[in-house]
Parts: sequence; C-alpha cells; structure tokens
Amino acid sequence: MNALKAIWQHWRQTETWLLFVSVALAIFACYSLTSVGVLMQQSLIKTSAELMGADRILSGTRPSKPEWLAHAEQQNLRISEQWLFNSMVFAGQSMDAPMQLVSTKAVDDNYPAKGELRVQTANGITAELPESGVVYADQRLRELLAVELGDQIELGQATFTLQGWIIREPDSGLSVFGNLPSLLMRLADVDATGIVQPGSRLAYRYLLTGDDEPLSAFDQWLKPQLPEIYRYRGVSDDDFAFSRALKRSDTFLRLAGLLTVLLTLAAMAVICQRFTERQRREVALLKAFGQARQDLILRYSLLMLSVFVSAIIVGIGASHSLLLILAEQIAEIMPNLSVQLVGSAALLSIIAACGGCVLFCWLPFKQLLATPSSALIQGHGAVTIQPSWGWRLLQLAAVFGLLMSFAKSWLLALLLLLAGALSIVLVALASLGLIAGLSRLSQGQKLSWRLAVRNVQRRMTENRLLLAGFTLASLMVMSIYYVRGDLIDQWRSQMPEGAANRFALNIQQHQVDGFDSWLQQQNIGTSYMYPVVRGRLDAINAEPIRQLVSKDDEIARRSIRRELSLTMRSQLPEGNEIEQGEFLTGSGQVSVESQLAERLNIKLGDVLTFDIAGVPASATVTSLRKVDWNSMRPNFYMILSDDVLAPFAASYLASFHLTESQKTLAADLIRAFPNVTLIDVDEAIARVESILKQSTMAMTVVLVLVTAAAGLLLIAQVRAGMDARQQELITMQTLGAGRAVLIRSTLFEFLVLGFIAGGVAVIASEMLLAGVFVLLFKLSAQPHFSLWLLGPGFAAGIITSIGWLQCRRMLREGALTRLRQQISGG
Amino acid sequence: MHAEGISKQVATEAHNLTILQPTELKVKSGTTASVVGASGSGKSTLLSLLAGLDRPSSGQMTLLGQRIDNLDEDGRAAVRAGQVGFVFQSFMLLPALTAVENVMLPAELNGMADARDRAMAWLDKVGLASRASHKPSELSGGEQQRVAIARAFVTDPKLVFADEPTGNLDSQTGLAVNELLFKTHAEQQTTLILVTHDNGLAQQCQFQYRMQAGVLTETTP
Repeated sequence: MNALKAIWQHWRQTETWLLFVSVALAIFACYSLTSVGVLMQQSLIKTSAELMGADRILSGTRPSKPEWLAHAEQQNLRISEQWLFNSMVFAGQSMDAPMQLVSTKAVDDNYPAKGELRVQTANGITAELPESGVVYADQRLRELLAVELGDQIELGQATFTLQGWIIREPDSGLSVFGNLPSLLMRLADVDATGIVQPGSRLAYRYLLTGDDEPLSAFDQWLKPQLPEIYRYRGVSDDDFAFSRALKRSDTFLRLAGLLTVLLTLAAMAVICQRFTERQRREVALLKAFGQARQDLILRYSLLMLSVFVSAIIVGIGASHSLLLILAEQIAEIMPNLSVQLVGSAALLSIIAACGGCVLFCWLPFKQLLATPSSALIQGHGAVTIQPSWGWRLLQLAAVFGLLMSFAKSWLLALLLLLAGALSIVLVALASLGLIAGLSRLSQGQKLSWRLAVRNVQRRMTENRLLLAGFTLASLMVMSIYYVRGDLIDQWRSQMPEGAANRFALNIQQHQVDGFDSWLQQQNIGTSYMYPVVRGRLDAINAEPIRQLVSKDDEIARRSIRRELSLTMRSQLPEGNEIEQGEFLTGSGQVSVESQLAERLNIKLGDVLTFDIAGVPASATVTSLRKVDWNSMRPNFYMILSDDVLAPFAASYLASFHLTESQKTLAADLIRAFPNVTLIDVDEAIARVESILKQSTMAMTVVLVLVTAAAGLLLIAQVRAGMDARQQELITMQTLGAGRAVLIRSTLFEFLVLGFIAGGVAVIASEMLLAGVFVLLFKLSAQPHFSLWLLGPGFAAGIITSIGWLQCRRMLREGALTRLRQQISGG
Repeated sequence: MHAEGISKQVATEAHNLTILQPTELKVKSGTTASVVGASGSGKSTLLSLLAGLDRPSSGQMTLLGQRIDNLDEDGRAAVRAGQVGFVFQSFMLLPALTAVENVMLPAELNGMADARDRAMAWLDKVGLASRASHKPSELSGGEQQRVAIARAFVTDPKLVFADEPTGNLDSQTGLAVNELLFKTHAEQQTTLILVTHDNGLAQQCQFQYRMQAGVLTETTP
C-alpha cells in the first residue's frame, strides 16, 4: 500500500491532529520561552552595555599588562584607555585663585567605547573629544571656580582652556549621584601636567568592545590569570545593576517554559494512549489481511515522522512569527531587540518534544503493534506490556535531564523534581478534602448535582494528572496575573502624586535658607535638607576595616573602598525603620543601615572610625535601620549624631517634586544657584518602568502558553475517558435517566473539577505570591480577595467550556443513537 | 484446509482452561461449511485457529496447502495475504475510511494496482456503488455488512471466513446479507466457512458441524 496514502488517511483522524497539536505546542512553548529569554538578554545586555560604556571593563591601580591588550587586539576587540585620578584645579595662577578637587578622566582617541559623549560648548552641543590643551568640565565647576567657557584653568604644571560643560558621559553608569566634579582631558596631555609620578594614586581603565564570540573567548583567556588587584567585569556580572534582574527574568522564563513543556508532554502521553487504543482495530485488521509486523512498524513510524516534521515546522515557525510581532510591539522600550533564529533554543525544543514523545509514547505503540489479529474475533485485543525498571529509570532520567536543561543546575532540577512530586501529592490530598466536603454538601440535593459529585469522586484516580496539571497551570496564571499587576501597582504606590523627582546636591551651608525660600516662592515644597559630609569607613573597634572584610565579598569591599555620604539628623527619617537599638539618643552615636551592617559584621556597641578629609571621627553604633531603598527619597547608610559631623564642612542635599508645568523652573534654579547639581530622576523612573513593562510582556506570553498547554491536557484527558463516559451515559439513559439530567450532571461535573483545581491553585498562589513579593522583590505581601473569587471561577469556566465542547455531541445524540452505533461497530 | 488434532488451552489464575478439545476438520476447496454452537461453546476460538489468526496449543493446522501452526504471526499473515477474506459480526470497517477505501484496503495491502477499480466493481455488485464516498457512520447496519462482504471478496480470495455475519442485523436484513454471501460464494467458487448460532443459515451449507463445550461434531445430514 502506498505509504503516503496510509499517512494521509491517518491525518484525517482527530487523534492524529491532537497528537500533532501536542507536539507542536511543546515545541512552540519551549522555543518561544527559551529564545525570548536569550533574545531579551541580548537586548538588555546591549542596552546595559551602552550604560556601562563598554562591553567589558578592565580596571586596576596598575596599568594593564601589554600582552593582555595585545591579545585583545588579536581578538579584534576595540580598546579605549583611560586614566582616572583626583587632582586640584585652579582658576588661574594667582595665589588666591579659586581651587577645587576634581575627578579627572584622561581618555584616548577611542573614547567613548560605546554610547555618545554630550558636551555643551560655545558653539552648541558636541560629541567631539577635547583637543590637546583643552578640557571639558563638570558644570559644578562654574560656580566652584567662578569660570566660564574659554577661561584658563591650571591642572598640575599645565594650563588648559575650558571649552565645554559635560552634559553626559556614556560610561557614567547608572548612578545619578556623582562624587567630585569631573574633568575630561586627553590622555596625551597628562605628562605635561606632571601629576602622574611614580607612586601616584590613579586608576587605569580599559574599555573593551567587540562581538560576543571574541569577547567570550577573551573572557575565558583573561579571567584565570587576572591578579586580584585588577577588576574585570561585563554587563552580566553580579556587580552590575541589571545583572540580577537579567538572571531572574531568564530563570522565570525557563521555569515557565519547563512547566509548559511538562504539561504538553503529559497531554502528549494521554493523547498517545488514546490514539493507540483507537488504532487497535486497524492493526488487528491489517494483520488479518496479511500485513507483516515490519510493515506496520514502518507505517506508524512514517506517520509519527510526518507528525514531528510538521510540528517542528509549525512550532518554530509560529514561534518565530510571534517573536517578530512582539518585537515590533516593544520596539520603543527594547530598541536593541533583534529577532533571529536561536539555534540552541530550536535544538532544545526539538529534543524535548521528540525525546518526550519517544519516552512516553513508545510503550503504547509497542502495545499497539502487539495487538493480535485474533482480537477481531475473540474480542480481547488489548495487550499490556509492563515497563521494565530500566525503562522507568530511563523516563525518570529523561525528565531530570529536561529539568536540568531548563534549570541549568542539578540542585534546582532535583528541587523541582521533588517539588513536582510533592505538588501532585498535595493536590491529590487537597482535592480529596475538597471533594469530601462537596460530597457532604451534595446530599439531599438534586440528582444531577449528586451524580456530578459522585462522578468526580469516582474518576479521581484518572483525573489526578489532569488536576495536578491544571492546578499548576492555574497557579502560574494567577501568580503571573497578580505579580504583573502588583509589581506595577506597588512601584507606583511608592511614588504617589507629588513624590520627589528632583534631587539637588552640593547646596552650600550659606545657601540653605535662600534655596528653601526660592522653592517656596515657586510653590515647590521641599524635603528635609540633609547635610552631607563625605567620609570613608576606616576601622571597626579600632581594627582596620580592610582586614575585617572577606576578599570574596565584592560588594562589601567596594563599600569600604569608596567614600560614603554621611549625614546627621536627630529624628528617624521617613522610610527608615529601627530593627535594633535606639535611634541617636545622645552624642557620639551612629545609626547603620542593617544590610550594610550585616555585610561588614557591625553590631550594636561597635565603634566606627571614619576618615573625613584625613581627620578621624568615631561614633558608637546605637541602632541598626532597615531602609526602603525603593522609595525615591534621600537614603543614607550612616546617620550620625550632630556632634560627630558638626566640625566638618557639609554640603546639603534636598529633594522636591516638579510638575510638568514647572519643569522649566529647573533652568531658573540652576541660574540662581549655579553650583548646585540638579539630578532629574524622571528618566531613571521611566527606565525602571520600561523594564517592568518588558517583564510583564514576557509574563503575558507565558500566561497564554501555559493556559494553552493546560487546555490541551484537559482535552486529551476528557477524550481519553470518552468511551467509559459514553458507556455510563447509555446505561443511565437506558435505566431511565432523562437527557436533561445527564447533560446537567456532566456540566456540573466539570464545574466541580474546575472549582477544585481553582481552589487548590488559589491556596498555592497566595503562598507563592507572598513568597515572591517578600523574598524576591522585597515588597510587602498582601491578600488578593479578588483571586479567591476569580480563581476558582476562571478554572471552572475553562474546564467546563472545554469539557462541554468535547462531550456535547455525545450528550445531544442520546442513548439510542449511541447504542446503534455500538452495535454497528462504530 | 485441514485441522489435525488442534486444541486450545488458556492459562487462568487457578488452572489451564481447555477451550477447544483436540479437533479434526477437513474442508475441501470450493465448498461451504458451517459451525453452529451456543455462546461460549468455543466456535469463535475454532474459527481463529482455522483462519490462522491464532496458534493452536497442540495439533497441526494446514491452510491453503501450507502448515501454519508452527509459523509466527508474520508467517501466518503472509499465508493469509490476498488468499483469505473475513466477514465479522460487528463489520469491523475502519471509521475514518470511506466505503470504497474500506473495500480497497486488502487489495492495496497486496499491491494490486487496480485496487480502486476492483473496489468500485465490488461495491456495485453489492448494490452500494452510489455510497462509495460515504463513511461507515453514514451507512445502516445492513449496508455496512454489504461493504464488509465486498471487502472480503475484493482480492478474489480462495477462502472466506464469516463470524456471525448476521448477528447484529434484523432478520430481514440478515436474510438479504446471507443471500448475498452465498451468491458471491457461488459466483467466485470461494470456500466459505461460516460460524453462526442460526440453524437456518447453517443448514444452507454443504457441511455442517456443531460445537458444544469445546467438542466439534459433524452434523451434516
């Protein structure tokens, strides 16, 4: 017989189409979710690299070894070298010329490595580097040095012409708070200043850019040999602001993809079981007509091959199309998203779907092919082949392998496996409890209701897989829906109407009253003006801090390397909560932020010594504070009692809100107080919101896929039980039950199933949401009353609709028709 | 077809159950034979063994001149291919195929190039040419059995086994089907072996046998 014809005949059967849909959905889900993760990462990394000003930064207090740079150039990586050092600049040569300590950056011709420099010159905005003999300066120097564009300033032994005010430096990072005013000059001019001498303190920075592969190769070459005095980082390294968000979103997408794939594999197994059951007669008949077993194997192998090839084409094709559409929708917020075929995602999805099918469908097919031709006459044709222990272990190993490929960690995979097994047990137990309760409630109720509850009870074993799958899917859908909404709501609630969107730094002491008055005249309310003194934490209980901090704790080491902004205040600031001790009750005291205290192992009663412009200042820790870093308010690691900081010159920090109509006042403010640096945080807020939007978009894709997978499992399960359900229907009708009663009882049965799945999912969702918000996002947990109403309703609605669609024909036709069909072998 | 001392036992939890006692049966080419018996008498088991659909527990079975009791499933299928037709009580048409596709099936499996033409010719013979594109669910019981008869004869087999061919039909339709079956046998000179509980039908056959409690007895008058 023509093999193609046989395959075509099979494709006319619903079960073949269901098998195709299950495989295609598994591939679609797996490919979409893994490739979205890969593509979003690439886009975010590109965006983040622009903020970082490079793809990689090598920095240290000594110059790079020449062979490292040579190797980088061999890899076709572009290198931009910078020297950074602090120095005094003078506005002229006279003895009483104003002077200021600045942070100088000397750059080479390749600067900037990524992004664009923006400088205000006398001729307008430029991105050009300063020429030799020219510097660009931070706008704060205008007031500090009383200089204008075109003036001469002294840096070391050299004189430079000031020709531009820096608006934006591409490698300034995410921090909106600068330290010393900055100065930009040419690397070639450093020698002339005479500042850099043997033993001088300066930082050498090398900004690298290039393609992914050579960068990766260079990473692998350099990292093992890099001494500790150097730092080498990229965008996805832990110490960069976006990295944790990137890793979390990738993990989330992978786990969601895993759940979807597992659901579709479960559906595939159920569909395959039914498919092979329905094929028994055909196999027996073909054998009776003389077809050899080998021909049957070939027939079904070709059929499965056609299913897989079609599913791969449709699954990956549809996924790719979806990604293209998504990319267009989010082009504004993810301009660097470039959709291309992700080979690794395609391979994973094909292996997961094909491997899953082989493992879960092999046995049903083997049983099918063993159907004897004598079944045509003797009736009993079902062959049961018990899987061997080896086969069971192989299935378990394959599931574990699938978990590993998504979780990327054997420990997480093991936890997921245990969590999955536990979930199924818990769902079964919870379902039993719920159904027992419903059973009691149904006593004395109408026949259709009692029949429904009894049927659910009776089919509990078969429905266990469906319940577990649907509960997990409902759990994910509910959690995504509420996390999506809550994230944005909570973020926005932290920025109520009128929340500060401007921070003013470097307000001088004598300007405080004037600044406050100026804002009040413009009807702009201001927050408490914090005095800020820069200092470095030197010792804890007289022990030098460098010896106390672990070499591996990069964040802690960074916090002791740089200067902290110290402040003083007698009252506990808003958004701060005392966790231990009492807030500043006397003199010589300091209140420490609790996470920093934990990192540096600071306890109540410890004496901290600070180096403030070379002068030591000590204070005793009397309280540890929890700080809400997500609020848009000035927050400080260290708050000292007045007496400790009062001897030191402080600048002041204020925050206030400018409405849309007041935005032009910012320029007036700078003209009135030219030394003040005004930070606009609206842009930072907009960027965070865009990241949230990207995350919620990914969540929406996941939501749809998981629902589709769960729906498919439901369809498969209902169809699998159709024959038995049909038999019951015939028997009930023959015994006198009216069609209306049976229709209602079937609908109620699906409703009950849905409420059980939804109810268990609601309980699990609330627990999961609480965990996610408290542990992951560091936000507060809250109950979701709408979830309790909508959750079970949503699950019941979906299950009832799908169940009804599957059963309606059977229910409408009634018993007699079904009996006739049975007798006639249909 | 020659069965020499064939028997069938099946293993149950308690002991071995003998469904068919050692049986002797010889059917000549071109003849008709019937096996009558009550439900559970073992007649269907005998039919399975005679048709090579199952293997006897003991004895020798020769079908179309070939010994088949020592062959595996594939070997027996090869002997049957194109040479043996079947008519079943519950018709056993494939629901996804149309009438003509169902009839074509044995011919296609045996590589007959004119499978479709043969099928249409046979559907015409059984009076269902106009229903060729209909699926089994669109046909009545009698029409389905006529399609099954067409399928059984499409490859011009030497032997046709019929297992309760009118069991699921009303008496009038059953009579029509029986008439068709015997008429076709006469035209094709196919050996026809019939299993039935209908004595009237059984008596139309040249050779008659009765199965009772696994024992076959000839009752040809």
